[in-house]
Amino acid sequence: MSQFVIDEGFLQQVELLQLLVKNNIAGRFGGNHQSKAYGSSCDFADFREYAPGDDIKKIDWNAFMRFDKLYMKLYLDERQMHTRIYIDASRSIAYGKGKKDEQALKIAAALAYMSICDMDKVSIYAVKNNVAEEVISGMLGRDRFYEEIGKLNDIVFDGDSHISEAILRSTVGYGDGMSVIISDYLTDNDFLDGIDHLVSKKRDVFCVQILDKEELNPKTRGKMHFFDSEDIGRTYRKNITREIIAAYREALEYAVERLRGHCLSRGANYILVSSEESLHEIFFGKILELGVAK
Amino acid sequence: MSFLYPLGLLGLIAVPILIIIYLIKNKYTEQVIASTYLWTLSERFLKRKKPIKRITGLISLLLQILAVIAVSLAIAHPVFTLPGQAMDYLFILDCSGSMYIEREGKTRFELGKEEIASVIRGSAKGSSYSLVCVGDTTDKVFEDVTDSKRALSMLEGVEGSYTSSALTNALRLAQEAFAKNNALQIYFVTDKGYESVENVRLVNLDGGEKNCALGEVTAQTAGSTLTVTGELYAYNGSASIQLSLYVDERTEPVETKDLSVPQFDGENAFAFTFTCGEVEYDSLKVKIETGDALALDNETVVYNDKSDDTYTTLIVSDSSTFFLQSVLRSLGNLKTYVWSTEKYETWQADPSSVTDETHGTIPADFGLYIYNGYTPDALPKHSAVWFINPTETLSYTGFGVSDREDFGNPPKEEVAWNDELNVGRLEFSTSTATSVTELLQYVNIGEDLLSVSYYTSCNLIRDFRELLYCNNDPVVFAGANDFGNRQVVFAFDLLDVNMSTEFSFPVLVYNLMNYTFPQIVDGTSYACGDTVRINVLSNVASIRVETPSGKILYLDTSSDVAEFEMTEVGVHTVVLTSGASQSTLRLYGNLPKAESVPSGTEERFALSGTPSSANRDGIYDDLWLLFMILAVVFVADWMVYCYEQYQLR
Repeated sequence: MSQFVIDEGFLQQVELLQLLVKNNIAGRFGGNHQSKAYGSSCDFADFREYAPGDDIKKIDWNAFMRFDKLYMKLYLDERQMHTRIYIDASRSIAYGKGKKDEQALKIAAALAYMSICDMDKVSIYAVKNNVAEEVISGMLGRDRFYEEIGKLNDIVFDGDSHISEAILRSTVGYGDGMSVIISDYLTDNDFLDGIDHLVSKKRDVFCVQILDKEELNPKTRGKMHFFDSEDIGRTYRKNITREIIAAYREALEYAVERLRGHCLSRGANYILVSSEESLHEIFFGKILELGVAK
Repeated sequence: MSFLYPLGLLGLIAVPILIIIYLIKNKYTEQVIASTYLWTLSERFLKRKKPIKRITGLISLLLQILAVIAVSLAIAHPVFTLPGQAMDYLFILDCSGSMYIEREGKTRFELGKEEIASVIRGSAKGSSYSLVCVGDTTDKVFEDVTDSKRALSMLEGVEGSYTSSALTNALRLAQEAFAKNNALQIYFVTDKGYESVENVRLVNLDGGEKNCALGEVTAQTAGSTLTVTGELYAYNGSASIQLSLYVDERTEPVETKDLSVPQFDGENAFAFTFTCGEVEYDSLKVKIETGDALALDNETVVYNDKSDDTYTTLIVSDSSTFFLQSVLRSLGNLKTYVWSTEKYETWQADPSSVTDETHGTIPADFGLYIYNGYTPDALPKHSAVWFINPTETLSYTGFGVSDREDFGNPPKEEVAWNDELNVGRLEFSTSTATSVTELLQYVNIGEDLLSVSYYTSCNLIRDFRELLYCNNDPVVFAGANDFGNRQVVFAFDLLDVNMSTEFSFPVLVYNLMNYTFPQIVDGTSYACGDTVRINVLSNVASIRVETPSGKILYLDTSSDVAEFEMTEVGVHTVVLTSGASQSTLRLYGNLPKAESVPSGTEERFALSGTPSSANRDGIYDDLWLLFMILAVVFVADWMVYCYEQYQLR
């Protein structure tokens, strides 16, 4: 079980960021994200004719002077977003020296804190086999964040993960915020349907792929018999030569581009991070650059 | 097959190590990784392997083993013993005079060359040949020649010598070559028999031929009778010979004898005598008329030295030359003129204006000028010069006159040396150089107490023979001046030295006179290998020597003695040129006595060391370096491969 520690100073820096969603939020409670409903924000939306009982403070007197008719000014409403973070809790995330699990937990916690600071609701799920287990549910406010974020350390990274199946079977909401999927995506199991499902539910999707240094740039040479940590029956037996390494690099590029391309075609966001990268580089570099936050 | 460096085979230990490494490395290392997804996916991107790639590992192992074997063998340098394999040959050819002994119309020297040529012709391609000729000197005629035709061509041009052979040098050369390459095939081609020969193939050309040789021949004249005596040697059996005496250039002998000469027993030679009335002769030739195996020692020539030894001497002096004249007169062969300085200067200015009452005629030039207490304006260019008590420095004399050391007292006769007397003590040179000792021969050095009341200090510029010193200054010295003429200097007046009355003085003057007018040569008969010393007379400009084979030598006349080595049997004509006149000497070169012996026996000719059968593999030797380089390159490539393959694990 991985224990993650996040720097409080970094959290203070992250407070300044805000997650950006492309779709108007259809949340129930007031928040900081634009909604399709008319409300009381500062953002002008439309006019309509005055009806008895309307608040006379919202009558546009300038329009009355021009048209000699009473018109009401309508404003957009700002609603609360529900950020759902899915952490791949399969064994492949935790296996090896790469500490991808620790990096996943840190990114999840930091994104959760960003969202919390924006008065959003945050739920964090651990995807195991074909189930998305709710680790933290509907977390609101900083106090609750500090109370509950420790639960992430209780996640046990074990077994396989079927991201699509798990998401399809879980409640994902409709148009009420952003879904973040944090995984290494090194699996034959389907995860693209899960992304499509979330997109179809009018949710902003943000895929974070974490790979460790050896996976990005393997140094292994010679005769090797690899066993898959999630399924010992999956093996790979070869003399690792320059040719094999070249083929591996092509395969890695293919896998990354496949995911990136899929996300791009669905309007989802995607970043690839190394388990060695610092949170500062990820949030104030890649995420800002991608436009997921501002 | 053998190996030059068997220790190189230790490298083969690496072969089993390689196989063990291969077997260990051939096992797959098991490792659990996060996901095999990407590795499995990489199969799609793997280029299709050629079938040979599947056995790359095995091929790599085989090549590595081959490389190790190649390097080990290259270091060990295998040598294959194949029929007709190439070898290194060193031929030592005896070129001494005895090799001219003939057998069936061919000399031993020619037979020796044929033996060498047959070995060269029978050798395999790629062999190398060296030839060392041993005569009076040891010469490498050719060395490590790999072209047999070229070697044969150079062998053809080799000529023998008439001297004894310097086998010590040959042995040294052979030993050096054998130390470098103990597989060297050394052939020693000689006519000397050896009791033991090691590491050398001896080719003995001694056929037991009979030979008669003339020994030393001398001629003496007594009244009207000429007696010629000599010795005869018969080797390998007694001989009946006809011996003739020839006078001058006559073709008919003046006397002939039939002699039965017993075999030479090593000690007692057979003596012969000719007696005739030919008192006046230029040369006498004694010849063995009956032919034998070696013609070179069958005749010898003795020349009569009839050179004129009367020399004209001019003494220029204003003071008494009593002592000097007395001594010169006692030598007997000097025609001495004594002139005053005034008369000399007049003669110098106009020779026709001067007459000599004593001798009547005055020669155009004198053989020796003796200046007593006088320095002429110019040094004679073609004559010897003596300076007695020189007063001034004269150009071209090779010395300068500086201070006059005056002791103030007259010289004392037969006085015990006493420091209280103000006289200078004369001391003879203690040099052991031959040039000095021959001038002080028979002089009572250390017995006569010689003193001088004054002397002139001289600075010597040229290299003179210093004979006497006073206060460490040379006071009597002799040598050649800048004109190359012989010159003697007494740096004091003969009246002011007690030396003139001592026994040493006439002896010293005699030696100096012999130096001034030397015999041109010591004798007319030499053995080949002897050094002939020719005294360079005062006005000799050049000395030309013509050997019997027609070879011309010009000797260096800048010093007072010229030398050359007698290398041929026969008459050597020496022409001395002085101005417009020439004089001719004839010297006879004889074969060394030892070379007349047809069956000589030496003790041993042995080279230390153990011969090796590891011979060269000829032209394949050149591939060795290429083989080595290829192996090293392969090993380097393999190491780079290993570095890439394993170093990061």
